[in-house]
Amino acid sequence: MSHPRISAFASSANGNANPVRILEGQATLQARTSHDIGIDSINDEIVVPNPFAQAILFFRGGASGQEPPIRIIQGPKTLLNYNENVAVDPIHNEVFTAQFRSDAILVFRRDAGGDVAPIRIIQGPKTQLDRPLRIAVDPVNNLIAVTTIPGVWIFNRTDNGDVAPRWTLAGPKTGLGVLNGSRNVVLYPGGKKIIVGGGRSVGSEEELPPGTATRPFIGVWNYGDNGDIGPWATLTIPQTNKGTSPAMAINPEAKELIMSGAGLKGIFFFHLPEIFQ
Amino acid sequence: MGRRSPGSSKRSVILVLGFLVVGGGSLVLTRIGGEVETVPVRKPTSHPQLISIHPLPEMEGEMCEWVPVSGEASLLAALQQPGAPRSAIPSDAARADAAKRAPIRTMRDSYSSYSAVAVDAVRNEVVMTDENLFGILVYDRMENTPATARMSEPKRMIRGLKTEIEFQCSLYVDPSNGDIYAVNNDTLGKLVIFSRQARGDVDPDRFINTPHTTFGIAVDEKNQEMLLTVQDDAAVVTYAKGAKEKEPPVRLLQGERTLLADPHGIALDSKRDLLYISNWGTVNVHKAPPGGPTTGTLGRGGGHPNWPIGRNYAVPGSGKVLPPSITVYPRDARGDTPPSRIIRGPKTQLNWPTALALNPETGELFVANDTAHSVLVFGPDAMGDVAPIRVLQGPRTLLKNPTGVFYDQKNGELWVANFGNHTATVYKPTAAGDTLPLRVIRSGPLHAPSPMLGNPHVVTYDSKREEILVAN
Repeated sequence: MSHPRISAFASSANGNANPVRILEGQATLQARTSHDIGIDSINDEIVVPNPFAQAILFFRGGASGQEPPIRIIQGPKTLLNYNENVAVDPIHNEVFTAQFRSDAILVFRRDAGGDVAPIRIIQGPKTQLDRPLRIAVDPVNNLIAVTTIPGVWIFNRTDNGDVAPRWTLAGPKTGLGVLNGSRNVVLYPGGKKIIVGGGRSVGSEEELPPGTATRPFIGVWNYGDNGDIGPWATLTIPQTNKGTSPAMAINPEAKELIMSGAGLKGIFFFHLPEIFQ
Repeated sequence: MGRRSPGSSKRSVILVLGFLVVGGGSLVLTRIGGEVETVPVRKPTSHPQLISIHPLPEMEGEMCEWVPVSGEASLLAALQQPGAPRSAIPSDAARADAAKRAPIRTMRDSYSSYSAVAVDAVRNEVVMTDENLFGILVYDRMENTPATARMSEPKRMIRGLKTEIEFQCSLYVDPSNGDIYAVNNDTLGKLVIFSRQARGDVDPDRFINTPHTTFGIAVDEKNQEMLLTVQDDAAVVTYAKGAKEKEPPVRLLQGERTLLADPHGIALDSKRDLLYISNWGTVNVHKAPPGGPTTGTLGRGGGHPNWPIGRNYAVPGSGKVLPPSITVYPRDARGDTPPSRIIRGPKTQLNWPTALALNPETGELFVANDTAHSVLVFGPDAMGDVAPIRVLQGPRTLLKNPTGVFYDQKNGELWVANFGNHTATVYKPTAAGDTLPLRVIRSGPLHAPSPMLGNPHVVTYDSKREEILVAN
């Protein structure tokens, strides 16, 4: 099953660890397929998508137990549709979500609540958005990164309407694209790095036709990499099941890349100072 | 996979320095397709370009490797990208050396976590799905793990890539032959069926392609049908019990009037011809196009009759959060049929009601109430905002995030799978309050941490609290 609870562990957790807090239960309004968690360290909030409710939930940063959200974006004006991803920009007070169904990126005010329209929508033929799946924002260098069927598209943070991506990472040398298992993308503003998974086929799902079956990996690219270009460095991933797809986070202070993902059955911590230079 | 050798750190440093010396000039030697070529490189800039390879401590467990990129995606290819400012590119040698790198630590639960339970009363066995390590575990029904024991060993296990077992959230054991029906909730989109002889890493004896996110299973032996809840599409699909592979459902219950909303558990009252469904409550509207849907969620079920209208036909902005509920229908309800009864409201204590079981003699309904750490029991005519007739809850019960429940009619026992503490616990069906279990089967040491990382699909870092947040 998919247990939509959010569990928080000490950053030094190792082995079989108990969470230090859990956010779960009916009052939290969570549901399965929340494939992102946004952390807003400035305003001390946790941002969680709920694709069944077509909602974005905002919790206190220290929320635990059966604590309800403090704010919800939801309703017909929002245009939200199966939003299982979210990225928060606490500096410019904005929340981003990629819309797989409508080939769009919706941007909301971070402090909005209720049935509100997006303040910007990136959508149209120039965007080349093809079923965008996950999104990341770099509020320092003013970029957003989106995983799409062909690869990873990088836009300017303030882009609006039908605009071309600033850079694209796509093609056989990249190993990227949703068909190759790219889901989660992470931006590291300090080192100007793009971290994204790729490499595997999604199999025979008709909506996402088969790609080239390869071993799953996490690749690191530099800002400015553009086109069919190989990764700056690669980390291979254990194939523990037939649906392995990595999710990543970074802890710049500890110079750690943290990896998880469906079927990986654990959280892996890698010390990778190269990324954080 | 492998273990980092003590000498590898030293070698790493030497190799990286070598790169720096050569890279500080104008040429790097690289080998591509067996040929050694000279490649122009960028001049040093004011930007940091050192690749620091740090020694890492010895560790145990699974390792992931840094590997050099393929020949196609080599340093040469990377450098030849026009206009691609690639600073700090490590050499192939450095990357090859870094391939020895391993995670400095891994957080995982090394013990099975029971997510569903069913009893084979004919053969005196109890079967559990394990959603942590992906398997099916079979024990003697009377197994009772001593408090001093580390765990109980199962009589047999079905586990491995061939089994197509991943996120098994419910199961059914056929009383006639002991076949095990196990529901994949995510990733694989199929229900797998194993004979009683199956053990180890074996192919399923039969499978049925199902909609994405099936959760609960109930089998109607009288009518030879199999009913499954579908979370994503807020639906119930019914298959012929003997269906296989691409055979389509024979019946579909779906639509706004059904009040199905993230349906989980399912139970049949064959005596009264009723169908019970537990709903967590969040839902959006799926509306078929004028010509009818061509495929279901994730492109599955193309052209199949009775396939749920998928998320590809979701109406934007139609999402709702409803209270948790148990909805009751005629056994053979189809289409957009409203429930004949609803159990819903604060008195019910429903809190992520995850699995259902029914006592056919009394009509009592048992609810595995995940996040209240309780089992609720409702009477056969319960309706509206009604309190349970019994509540099993408290520290002595050992209930912790119960996600599976089974009523053993032959032996008069109630079984619970506790996803939150590596146990399956057994009670009298009349048990209430803070009651000790009759027996306990444990898959891990007493009080072993249970991180409940069933499907850790996302991870993020909270720098303020220095915490890792994981959602499933």
